[in-house]
Amino acid sequence: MTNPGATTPAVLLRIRDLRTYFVTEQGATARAVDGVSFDVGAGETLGLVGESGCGKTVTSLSILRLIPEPPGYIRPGSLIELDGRNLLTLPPRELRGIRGREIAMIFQDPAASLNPVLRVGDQVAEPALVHLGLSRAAARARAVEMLELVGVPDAAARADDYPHQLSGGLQQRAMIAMALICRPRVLIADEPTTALDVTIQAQILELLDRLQRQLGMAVLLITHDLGLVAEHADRIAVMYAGQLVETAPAPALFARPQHPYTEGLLASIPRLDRPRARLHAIAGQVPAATAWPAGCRFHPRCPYAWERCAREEPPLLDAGPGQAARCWLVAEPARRSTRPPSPVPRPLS
Amino acid sequence: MTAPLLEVEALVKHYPAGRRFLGLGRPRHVVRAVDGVSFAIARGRTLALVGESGCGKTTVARIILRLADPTAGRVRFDGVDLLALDAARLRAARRRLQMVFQDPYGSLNPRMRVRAALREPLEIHGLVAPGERDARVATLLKEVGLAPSLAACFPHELSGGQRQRVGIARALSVEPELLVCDEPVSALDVSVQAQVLNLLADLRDRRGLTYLFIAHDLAVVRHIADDVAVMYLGRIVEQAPAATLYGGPRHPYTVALLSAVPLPDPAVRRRRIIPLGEPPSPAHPPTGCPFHPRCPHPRKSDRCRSEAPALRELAPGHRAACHFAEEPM
Amino acid sequence: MTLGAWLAPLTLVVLAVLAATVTRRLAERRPAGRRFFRHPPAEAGVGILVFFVALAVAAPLVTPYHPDRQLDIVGLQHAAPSWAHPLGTDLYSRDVWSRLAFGARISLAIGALATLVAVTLGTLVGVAAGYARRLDAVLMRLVDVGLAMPRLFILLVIVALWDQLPLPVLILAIGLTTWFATSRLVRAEVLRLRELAFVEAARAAGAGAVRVVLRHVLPNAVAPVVVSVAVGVGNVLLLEAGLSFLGIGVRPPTPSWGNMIADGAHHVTTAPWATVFPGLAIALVVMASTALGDALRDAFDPRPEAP
Repeated sequence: MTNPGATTPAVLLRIRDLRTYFVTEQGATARAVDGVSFDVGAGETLGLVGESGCGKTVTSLSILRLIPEPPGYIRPGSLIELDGRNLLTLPPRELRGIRGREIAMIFQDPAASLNPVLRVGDQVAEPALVHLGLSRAAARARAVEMLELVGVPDAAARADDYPHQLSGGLQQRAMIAMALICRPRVLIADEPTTALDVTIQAQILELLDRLQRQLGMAVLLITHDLGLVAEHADRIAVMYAGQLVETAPAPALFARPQHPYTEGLLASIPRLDRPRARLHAIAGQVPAATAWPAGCRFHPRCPYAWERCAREEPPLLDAGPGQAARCWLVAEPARRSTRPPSPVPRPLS
Repeated sequence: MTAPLLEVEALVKHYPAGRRFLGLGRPRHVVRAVDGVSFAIARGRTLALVGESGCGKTTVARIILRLADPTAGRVRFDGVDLLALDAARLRAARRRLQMVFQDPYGSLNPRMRVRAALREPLEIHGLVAPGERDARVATLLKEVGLAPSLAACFPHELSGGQRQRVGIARALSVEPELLVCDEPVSALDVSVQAQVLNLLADLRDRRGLTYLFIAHDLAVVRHIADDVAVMYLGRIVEQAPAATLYGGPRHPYTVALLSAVPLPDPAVRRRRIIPLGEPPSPAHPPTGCPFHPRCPHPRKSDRCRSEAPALRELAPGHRAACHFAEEPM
Repeated sequence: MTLGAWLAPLTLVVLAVLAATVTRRLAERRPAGRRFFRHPPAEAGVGILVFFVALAVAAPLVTPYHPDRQLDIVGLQHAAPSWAHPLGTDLYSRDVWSRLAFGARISLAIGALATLVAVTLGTLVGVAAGYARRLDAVLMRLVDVGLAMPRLFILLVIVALWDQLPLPVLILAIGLTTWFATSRLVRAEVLRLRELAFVEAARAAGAGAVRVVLRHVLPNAVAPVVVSVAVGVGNVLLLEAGLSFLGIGVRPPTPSWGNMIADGAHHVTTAPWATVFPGLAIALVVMASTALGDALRDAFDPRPEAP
């Protein structure tokens, strides 16, 4: 199996064979994350891309062990390592020391992630109080510094505001300030701009790029928006049905996608830079996590599928420098005809 | 030229905000959600109304469907003033214009099966004999690409894309002429989005519908719109046929919006034009041009601060509200 | 009491347990049923209610004595529980068990009917206030007045004005003074529902206010109504107990759990069984109805799925 981290220096976060399962109330097992492996190095951004139900958010929550256990559980055999330390075997106290300090996370909806009854400055300062043992005054000063760093105008005054007095963009900046105040080494950004307007989105992502360069962090950028990862990720991992189906450096993914799902996704995005045409639609819909299809999980929707695909689940196969795809087409490229996948969506049932 | 199917004239919607003590006296501020919007849609054309949150586009849609009443202005549908209609005539008019809602999870009554939801408009308007309604439901489901067996399902048993299709089927059940689509694909995944957009385009071509398509995603809009109107803070700042708008935008906000859309192609490096600062609140709009505090145009001047530019015609069908529209960025 | 007479109440207990188990078995098949029984007390609640309702219905069949019959004024006054009188006798040497059974009829009837009146009225007012903006201010001021008034005193006044207060009037009076909290809850739910997209969609399709309320708003506003019923039954039972304790509730010799407690109140230390058993009955029914209310609310809630 290709080691996606082989060419990057200083791997900070190493995930190997992560499996997070949930027990539903009917007693079935939903295999939300089913064998995911990747590395993120210092100073690089890995984009984790997928649609709803693919398991990307569960992956990010698993890294910080924020999965409610029960009904969820991380299966033994999974490995999550931060700079050599296994996060899955850490005692709770040490794990709390990691959260917010070495690994920080920002979430999709800033309004829901900020406590409405606490002042913004106090919330931003909180990780510094807890992890760095600063005095209240020192933590507060540092919070104002961070707010300035993330581009909040009039930071000292805004620190005394309550979250509802800030716009969506400013709230997200405040969340970023709170996440970065302890200078974490890894930042997990779970759909950080989905709830924001597109002009603000652009501002926030530029900010994240700048901060990453300044702080040398490893960034795991989780999103469904391929346009975002094209502009802000160094490498991209595409998730489907709980597994990684393709990993590649960003330019290679867009220029030469190897997996039919990636191809389908790229063809179905409406684009400003291509002539207007009927959008390609991937036939069918995402299967339920309690019943992944046998063989290749994408095969019921794949225009290339043949009988091997229904029988055997492909592993991640090496498909070029730094690129891997979970598809038998990599082993049998002759079956990849030159015609593009069929654009007619089959009726749903 | 034939009369347009939908005509909106000088639409204004102000909300009072900041009530004074005990409600005495005028409210402290007025939220100018819609501040003078006019446009027309010819039969069979698709006009997209784009803008970011708070620009007023959804309010415009709700006023057109008389789910809200405007403070001023007129809405004419096929020559008939919708705002002057009484309840009975309004109900009849509602057959001809329908809406597809944004939220596939909230736009269907969780306690009603799909069949009941699709029958309801038929019952309200007395269409189709009662015995034939189930057959009509099955036809509608097939038309939007769903299996007729889904009629017995509850909304929570369907996926987001399926629910949205049911919403479209419900809108089509009364055979409308105009469909107002309020962000119909924003809440859907990319691959599902493509399916639903294709469906909307097919339905339009097959049934000869007219669309008012409301969205914030310019890339999505490009695939379905004939004309595009860009809104900012309750006003239209630019309107043009789609090709012209995407090829040669004149208003700085349009330019900024277009450049902010992330392109799924790392090989393309573009000059990013990002508006400065935060969007202002509709309760305290800036003086003069509403965009001037954030405008990155090199020719921005005092005139922009003091004088609000009028929406003027630069070329046939292309209007923009900028003092320097002749010198685009 | 003969062995045969013991069999009857035992049958009731068995019946209750059976009912609870069977209901659970049947309900497990549907997701709403599973949600209902996820609460551990739900099954017990069903059993308890079935027991008391069956007791009330079959009272003459399961009790060996007439509830008003004074068996032996001298010898059996406040006799402790024994084989012949499983729950003892009260101040007037009447069999407590028989009075409990017949009292169940009265108390449960008052509880159910008064709650029905209260919840119906509260829902109507709540829906009207929530949906019709113009009525809202007026109706809510009325509710404010209602919530502020001292219910017990009002009922006292009503009883004082009436010579021999018939039971239906008592039920009506309790119902008419208990609906205010329900209306607030329902109004809040209606206000929330009114803004939802599917309500707008119905209006956009041309639905009139009546249809929107009946088909879209009300069916989704079930949760607060159900909770009101559950809590209401408990409250009414307690209220009736209080009224009877004050002597203005159900008139003797008709037994109700409330006036049984009143009768035995002065002798709690010497003959606790006369008050403890009816008190226990009230407590059990209140707990059961609350548990069922919680469970029903969960069962009615079709969970919104996260995208």
